[in-house]
Amino acid sequence: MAIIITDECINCGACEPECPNTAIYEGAEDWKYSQGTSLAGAVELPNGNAVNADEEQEPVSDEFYFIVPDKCTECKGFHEEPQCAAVCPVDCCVPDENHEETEDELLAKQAFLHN
Amino acid sequence: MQSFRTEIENPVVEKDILELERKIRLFKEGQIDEERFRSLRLARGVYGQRQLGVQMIRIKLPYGKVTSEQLHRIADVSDEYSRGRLHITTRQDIQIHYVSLDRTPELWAQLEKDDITLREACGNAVRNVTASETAGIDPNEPFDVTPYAHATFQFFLRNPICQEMGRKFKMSFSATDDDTALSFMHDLGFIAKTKKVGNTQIRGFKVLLAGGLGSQPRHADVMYEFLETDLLIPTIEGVLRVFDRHGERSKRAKARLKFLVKDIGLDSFLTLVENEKRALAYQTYPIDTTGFEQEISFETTEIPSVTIEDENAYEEWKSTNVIPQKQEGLFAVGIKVHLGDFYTDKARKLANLIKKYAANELRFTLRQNILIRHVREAFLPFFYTELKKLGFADVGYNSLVDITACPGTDTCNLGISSSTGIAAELERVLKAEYPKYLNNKKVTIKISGCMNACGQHNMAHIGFQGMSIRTKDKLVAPALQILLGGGVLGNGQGRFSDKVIKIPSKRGPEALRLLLNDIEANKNTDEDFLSYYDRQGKIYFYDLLKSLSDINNLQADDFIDWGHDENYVKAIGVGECAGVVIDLIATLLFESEEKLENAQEAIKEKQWSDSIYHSYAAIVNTAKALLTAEGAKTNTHAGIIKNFDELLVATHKIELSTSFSELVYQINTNEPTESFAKSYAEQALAFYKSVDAYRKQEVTV
Repeated sequence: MAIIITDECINCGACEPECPNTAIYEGAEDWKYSQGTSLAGAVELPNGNAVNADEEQEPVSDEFYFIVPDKCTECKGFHEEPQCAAVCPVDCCVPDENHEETEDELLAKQAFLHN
Repeated sequence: MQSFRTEIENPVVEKDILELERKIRLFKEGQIDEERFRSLRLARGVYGQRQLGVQMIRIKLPYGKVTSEQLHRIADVSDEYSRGRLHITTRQDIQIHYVSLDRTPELWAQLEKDDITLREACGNAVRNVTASETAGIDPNEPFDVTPYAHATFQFFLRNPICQEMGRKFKMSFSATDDDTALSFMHDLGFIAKTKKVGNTQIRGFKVLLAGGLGSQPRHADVMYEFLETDLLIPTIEGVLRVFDRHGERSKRAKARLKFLVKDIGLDSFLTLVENEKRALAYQTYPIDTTGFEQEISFETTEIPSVTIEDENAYEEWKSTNVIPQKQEGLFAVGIKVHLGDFYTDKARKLANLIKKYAANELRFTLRQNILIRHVREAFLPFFYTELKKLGFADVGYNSLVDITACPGTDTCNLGISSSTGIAAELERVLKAEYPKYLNNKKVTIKISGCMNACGQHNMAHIGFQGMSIRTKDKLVAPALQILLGGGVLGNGQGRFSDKVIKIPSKRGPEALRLLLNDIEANKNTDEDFLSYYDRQGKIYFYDLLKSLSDINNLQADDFIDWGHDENYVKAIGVGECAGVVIDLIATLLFESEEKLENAQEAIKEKQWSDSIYHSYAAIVNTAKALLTAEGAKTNTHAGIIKNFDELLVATHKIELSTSFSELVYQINTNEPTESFAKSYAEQALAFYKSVDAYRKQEVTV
């Protein structure tokens, strides 16, 4: 599962610098696949979607910090536990039930992001 | 209300206070926008607090200095308008709470009678200028930084270049390489240095740039190893101009100077500062120090006779709380103030004491304490007995037991869980179980109620931060994050701590016991706290504390925070210490008119540099109004200038004789002369008129 930031977020920004995949952005911020990863130019994501890694993408949330599910590996490959959840002062970084993934899938995603 | 109007002698101050009164009235009548009003009151030290309908007032005390008269005045104001409590902040201000908004102009007028200001104590302005509390008395200091801190405070107060920045700006002055004013975590930090040039010793500063704490701490960069004192003010002015122009304004969490320097890099930033040079009000600015070099004088030489009953207690107090000064025979006396809170009855007695028996000066310290200076050796027993009567003779000034904490959930809107409650409990544990730490000044404990780090928890050896924890059955308990391994290394170097683990708040004391017991058992005698921490590493301490983080076995008591007797309720508001983005086009244009008026006003006063900056602000603000109408981004001044050229000039929507950037950036290519000030003001007005005409046409179409 990817991690999702709930609407209990207090916009403190503590999670953002902890993310090893640069998957966390401030609300209303445009983001790119290429930021903090080794992706560049035209790429095909593990889920089969084709994207341009250097192109700006729409924010997932306008109000709160958000996690890009395609870039979240639950810190697999880097840490024992999701770092955003570990530092979140109000426990609002929780598993995303709409993006359930196995450990192997997460590790594969990690390898894909940082090949 | 009439009473205070006639009493203020300084016309500038009078204008300020009357304006606050007028704006409060307009706000209550619904005639000015709430956000706009908020940013105005913040720049006048009037802050919101957790309790609705009342204000916290921050009294700006440069480098924490007060005289007896000023302390009496603050005590009177607190009794009259607040509740008799004075809170010392980690930036050497005094805060009072529960003040009614209507009475703030009157309160301010009272303070001004003893030359105390509220101006720019909060808001997106140059905040209080702090300094080592030992400045001027420290045996190791190259020179007294006080006059320089004072000149900095004065020069930038009400200065047009820093009235509406993207975010707040903090400066500190350290007396020695021990860096007790924490230069590495300030927007600009200065450490006193001297240098030999030929046969003369010249004074200067090591300058640290763009540090900061908060939820994303950043270590400052060295801007200069040595900057001579005459260049202090021009350098700060250059940095502020660049920050005002290039600093982020829309994304509040990314608006501090540290993010700008991180984004563009130190070298590019320094180039931008260099480009501002021609526009500066002064190329060099010598600072007169004579006002601070008067001979220390005393009211009396008569020593009241006292008998010390407990000689051991007196000696212990002397060893922990009394500091020898560089002035032979004089001593500074530290008062450990629990969490920085004290009350007006004692404040008055203290004020009388320093007036009669010391040299009428004390300083509030960064560790929320009080340091009385200039106590003669023979008077120490007398001071001890007098302070003891006031409850001001607790031993352990600046020691491990002297815990720093922000007000947290007691009064602050942003607090997540109690900081003062756990601080009191930890102090109790230390005194009862670890008395030998009473005189340990090598390890610090600091606590903040949230990640914004007003209690500086993320640069302490041992830090705690307020959090909340959610159980499986969706109950919420107060929690603490434990941080380890921060500290001041000296000479502009510091360390931010590692976030080690999160535990329920009620287990805070147990965590401290585990830590101290582990250190005692395993630390080598030649190791200090940080070397020991580094040798073991973060994971070691995570494992040490891991058992405390289990939330499957919480008891009923774990849901009640320290200092409370009812279940914890999470209630976190939004910070208001900074401006909110004002997007109303009409408001923006109205503000431009005000700025144009200010530019004319300054010309009348022959303040060319000020006038030029008002014109600059008017031009940029006018451009922002139109870009806002077009739905374009207006994150920074520099961005506004660029976007205006692209979206409105290149498309011939607005016709200018040059590019927009050439129009604006005349500010950097001209010296601040009379003729340029006048011509720039005219061009600003002409630009405003053309934009206003365009806007009216667009709206009617």
